[in-house]
Amino acid sequence: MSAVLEVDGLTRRFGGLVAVDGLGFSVASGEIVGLVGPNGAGKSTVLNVLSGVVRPDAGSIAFLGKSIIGRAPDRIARLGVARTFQPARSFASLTCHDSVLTSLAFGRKRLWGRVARDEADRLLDRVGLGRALDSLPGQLAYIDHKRLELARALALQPELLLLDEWLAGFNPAELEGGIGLIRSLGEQGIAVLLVEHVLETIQALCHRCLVMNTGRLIASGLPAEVLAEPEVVRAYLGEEGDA
Amino acid sequence: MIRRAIRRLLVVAVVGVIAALAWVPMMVGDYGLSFAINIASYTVLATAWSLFSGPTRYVSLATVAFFGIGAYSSAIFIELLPWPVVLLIAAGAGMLVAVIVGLATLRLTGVHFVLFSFGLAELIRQLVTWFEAKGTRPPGRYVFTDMTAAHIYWQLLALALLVFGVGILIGRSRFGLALQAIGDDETAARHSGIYATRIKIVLFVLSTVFMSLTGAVMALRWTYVDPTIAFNPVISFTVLTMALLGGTHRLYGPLLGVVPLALLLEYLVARFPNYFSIAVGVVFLLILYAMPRGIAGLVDRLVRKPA
Repeated sequence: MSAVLEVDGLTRRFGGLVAVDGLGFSVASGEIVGLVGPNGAGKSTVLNVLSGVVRPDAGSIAFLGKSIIGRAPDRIARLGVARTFQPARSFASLTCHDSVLTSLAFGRKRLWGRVARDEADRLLDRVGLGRALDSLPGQLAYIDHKRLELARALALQPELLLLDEWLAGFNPAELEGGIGLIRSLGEQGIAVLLVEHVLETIQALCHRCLVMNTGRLIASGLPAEVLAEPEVVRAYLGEEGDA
Repeated sequence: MIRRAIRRLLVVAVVGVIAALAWVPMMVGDYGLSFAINIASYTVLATAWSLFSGPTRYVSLATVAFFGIGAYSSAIFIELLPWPVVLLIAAGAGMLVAVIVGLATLRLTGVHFVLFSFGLAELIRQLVTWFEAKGTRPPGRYVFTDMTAAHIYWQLLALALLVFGVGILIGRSRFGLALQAIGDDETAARHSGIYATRIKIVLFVLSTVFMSLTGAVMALRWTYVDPTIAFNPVISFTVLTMALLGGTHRLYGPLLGVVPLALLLEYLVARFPNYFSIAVGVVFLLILYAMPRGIAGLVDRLVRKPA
């Protein structure tokens, strides 16, 4: 598997706070990597730096072998890095169908016309929103907002997908469907980096797992092994944790 | 089959309406033509305003800045150059200012942009006043032309048709979709690959070109311009009120606001000239409370068509 994303020495400070501290990792094509850690560990900052929202203070980010540091979010999106947000963001005045069309129209292949409309239908169907093509986001349930956001991300035909707690709030049945969907994206060759709080989900879905605490990477490897490491348990549960 | 027949009927109706509108100068007297010129100019201004500000929700109070630039282009060059060249200068000057302003301000959002746009119009007014005073000229300029009121009306009608044509093209293009996405959530739009700043600047410039051209044509009608007339902020507020009254989420929306408000203002100017500005303010407040989506929003509700 070739590396889609290579990050080295990534550092981002906000005033005196070091939100991300010398982070290094890579994600290969088709690989699903979980990024976990307690609140304030720096996970969301990592996604923001990778997607161009904030600039790193130090370090390198190579996407498909080329640096994307300093590139605007829209440029990074067009290169093939798609992301979702926590909470999900949507276009209130656009139907689900038109929302997905935006990413198709401005994404890597700049699709428009009938081809784009058909592709939008197909993507909405794939995420389970085939019944809501003409619905406005205001008419959707919370989970469907997330589905719509994922359909928009996929419409960019990404090589790398950054998911910010995309599975949070799913009930058990929906979670099973959601895990299956993300797994199929990996099988399709998309590299997935997902921030997640539910460790069972990480174990069920991810090939590898990165654990952050106070901006630093404290462990990485197979989810089952990494999540059992004493330092990881301490980071999650505190010094006295015995659960 | 039925749809095609309806479409044909619609085309015939539109052509008929345009022909009837072009015939107006031959059918009405001086007062009627003067009112038609008023309606046509505000239709261009409010539709052009809505072209950019409607979907992006960047509330601009700079309409009169570009209108005034056009009016002054006319006043300065009308006796020196052929009229089409004067129009090109008006469009070019407005465009130049719009590009500079766009690059500097379209990263601002919300109330910051509103304030900046208002300040810009005032700044340009002061600059023109200073420039005219520095040249030790009298404060105003006369605009002499052979063109009749009918010529002025036809030019404004052509501009109105053009702005609608451009609006239809944008609405059908990926840029129309992008503008709506930007207005809804600019961050999400950028992460959908939309080069938001560039698109906003292009649309802003396009809409201001129509404002400058309207100013250039209206200067002929006024025959005399000075900075307080050409850069009168009431024009910006009136255009904004008309667009919001009609509804900015539909291309035809501003037109629905222009006609009733122009009638009302005409009545007020004739009967209560001192309360004109108060009336604009009251109408503005009523719209915000009673019809946040304007008349076009009511039409939508009547035909139960989601926006």
